Amino acid sequence: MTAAPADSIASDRPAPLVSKVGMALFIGTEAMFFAGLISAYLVFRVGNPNWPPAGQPRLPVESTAFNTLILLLSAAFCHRAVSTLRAGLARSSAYWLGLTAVFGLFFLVLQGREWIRLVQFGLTLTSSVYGGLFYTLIGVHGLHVLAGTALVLYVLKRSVEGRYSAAYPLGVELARMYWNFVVALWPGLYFLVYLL
Amino acid sequence: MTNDPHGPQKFIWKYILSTDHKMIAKQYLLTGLVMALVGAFTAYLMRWQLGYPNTNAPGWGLVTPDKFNMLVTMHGTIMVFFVGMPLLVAALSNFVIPLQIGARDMAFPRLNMLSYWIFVLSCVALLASFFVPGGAPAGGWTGYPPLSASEQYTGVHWGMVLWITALALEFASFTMGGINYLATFMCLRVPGMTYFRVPMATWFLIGASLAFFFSVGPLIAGAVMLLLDNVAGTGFYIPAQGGEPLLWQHLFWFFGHPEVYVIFLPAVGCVLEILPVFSRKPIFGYRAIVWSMGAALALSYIVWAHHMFISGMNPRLATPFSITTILISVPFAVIIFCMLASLRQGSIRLDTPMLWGLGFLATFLIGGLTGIFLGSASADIYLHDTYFVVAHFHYTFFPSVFFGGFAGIYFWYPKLFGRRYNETLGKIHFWMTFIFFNATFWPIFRVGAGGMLRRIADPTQYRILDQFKEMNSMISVAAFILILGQVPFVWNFFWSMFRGPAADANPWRAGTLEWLAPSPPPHGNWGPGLPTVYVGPYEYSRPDMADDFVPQYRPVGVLGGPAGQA
Amino acid sequence: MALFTFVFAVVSPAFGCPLCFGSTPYELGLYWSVLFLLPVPFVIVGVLIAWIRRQSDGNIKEG
Repeated sequence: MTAAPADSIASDRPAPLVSKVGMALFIGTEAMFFAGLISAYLVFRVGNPNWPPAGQPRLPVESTAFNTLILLLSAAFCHRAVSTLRAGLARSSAYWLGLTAVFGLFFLVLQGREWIRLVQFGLTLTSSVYGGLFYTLIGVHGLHVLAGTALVLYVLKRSVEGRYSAAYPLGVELARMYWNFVVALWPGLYFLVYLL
Repeated sequence: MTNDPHGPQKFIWKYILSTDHKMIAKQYLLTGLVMALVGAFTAYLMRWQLGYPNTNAPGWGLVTPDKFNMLVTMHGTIMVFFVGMPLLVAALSNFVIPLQIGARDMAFPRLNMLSYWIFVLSCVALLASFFVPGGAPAGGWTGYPPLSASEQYTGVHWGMVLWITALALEFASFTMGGINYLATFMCLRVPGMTYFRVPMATWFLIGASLAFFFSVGPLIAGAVMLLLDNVAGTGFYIPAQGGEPLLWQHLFWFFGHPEVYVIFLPAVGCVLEILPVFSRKPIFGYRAIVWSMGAALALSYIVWAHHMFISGMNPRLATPFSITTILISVPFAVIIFCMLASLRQGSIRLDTPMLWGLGFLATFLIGGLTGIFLGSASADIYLHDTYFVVAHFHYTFFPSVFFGGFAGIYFWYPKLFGRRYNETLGKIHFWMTFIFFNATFWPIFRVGAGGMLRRIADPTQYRILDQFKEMNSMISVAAFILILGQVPFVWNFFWSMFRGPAADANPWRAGTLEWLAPSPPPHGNWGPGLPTVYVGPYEYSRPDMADDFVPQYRPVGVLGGPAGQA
Repeated sequence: MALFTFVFAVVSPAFGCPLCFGSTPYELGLYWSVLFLLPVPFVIVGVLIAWIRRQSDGNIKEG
């Protein structure tokens, strides 16, 4: 807690560092929020020897694996958006941002399609604790993807307006931080909920 | 970012939608005090029912058992989440942190304003629960399921939904606040303000934010599931649907235990700030205190399961959690001893803030020591869920929120409003509170050890409690006088705000940075140039200086060198 | 930490308490859940501190 170098932090620090620290702290609480959900999931997952409970459908492992790939690719695009912007290529940065948003939306649409099929198979919020946990955990992550996509689209709009440059890439960097967090959560959740 | 356009501001921008950290602190302060009145009213009704069972309480009417449950729940919720947190965490952090570290404002002023208004929204949601069909939540302030998860047990549905909503909004608000406090603390300190020159109040407010910040997520996760249980028909906490009620206890106390320190640490910070000023001595063991706080914070995250010792938990977990629970008292003992040592051979001035600070020490010690009875499992099996527990946690919470909080309010009052409060009224307020607080809660230990259960609406139903009839009436009278004893404060607070004598910049002759700014500090706090820090915060009575204190912003020169903490 | 591993690994079977839970799978679920949440705040705070230190170091070099 007291580890930062003494005397080095002065009040005339440029705003980017403060903003990034704020975003990092926010991501920290979000991570704790998901830790709480995962902890709740573990109570039932470890507590029930037969999982999923009898009469409940299995989850679509393969199509979601493909979806995982989509999300990881979008994170790579987001990285490109920042690196091209830092290299001074604002236009191609906007292009990569757009691709990120498109892939994020694609992930959501695929998830939604799987959900509709699962509901048809009889897995609903109230059908069992299994269903409730699935929709809560994956749904909350879905909401985060939605929020992340909205953030990327907002940054894209400002990027098209020419507000970012190699000298001032802050907004895109912040969006990337949040997007990285959302994407990094997913493989863990996928492993926990679909595979384990 | 630091300065909004100056010049005359319209009323709405200056007082309502202000982004100035000092105005937001005052907003939080007033909101917290108003909520404290509501909390005091619930306490009055409960004490009336316990002291004079089944008679009409003046100003309300008969307190029926179902209403009593609601009052118990709302009293706890309001006093912990809607009085303790806005007063101690939000108001003090907003006011003190930027001033003490030399910032011009919070790192994110607009987020700060948003956080306050979300908090107001959550207060409205909570108070609205009194007026919805079914009434206020009645499942206890910890909201244990299945009481809280299903309407059939308490008959309350909308009240419960509003309760969860209010808590969720409040935690969203305090998360925004926490981001602000931590980012401000890390990035906006003035040159020379190294980590070990940061004043105690700021350190402990930051500690409170850290305790809050990384524990609130799991509670929100639990609250989401509780809300779904209530409105969507899931069964996370309902055993009949395959749920697990213990899960809530697990997630709630993961937050709930650090929350104890969220309330406690700012109070300690205020007292630590006040002790050196009013005994004109450097604080004893500055570094030891800071490291102790760090250790206590780390431990506070790994003790929560001790709240579930007798709810059915794997005994493999009981031993490590007992060990950490015992360990966590060590850093606090260090801090308390440092406080006492700071007083030793000081030239002590018993002004009002100092009285509150010493009152905090005295009363909190009783709370801490009675905790030992509850911490040992054999005594706890007998005392569990009796009024002994009630007395114990009131002896810890009340000193923190009110003794510590009032210490802070009186201490920074001149800086907050630019005027002096009335010292005589302040002292009357202190002695009324101190005497009648003890007169209220000390007998409650006796009643609890005699077997009176907590949360019962009508003690006359139990023959063993007949012997406590007079004592209960006496406790109630003391509690009413305790509430009336706050009248001098309310009068003093508002009268002095407009009519008190003007305060100069440094009325206490204290060394920390906030006393450099004018009282009250203008928007932007420091005028054209930021101050620079040369020495530690508590340089009192240095033998090499003529004056009895060295403010942090004054260079000491070659003689003393740029001394750190003595 | 060494004490912790000792306590977790060795002491458990010898518990003669009157509150012996932990045999059914449900309580095992809570057990692992508690164990999972135990280190998480420390990991997150550790990562945050490391990240912030790296950021501010970079900032000093750039500025």
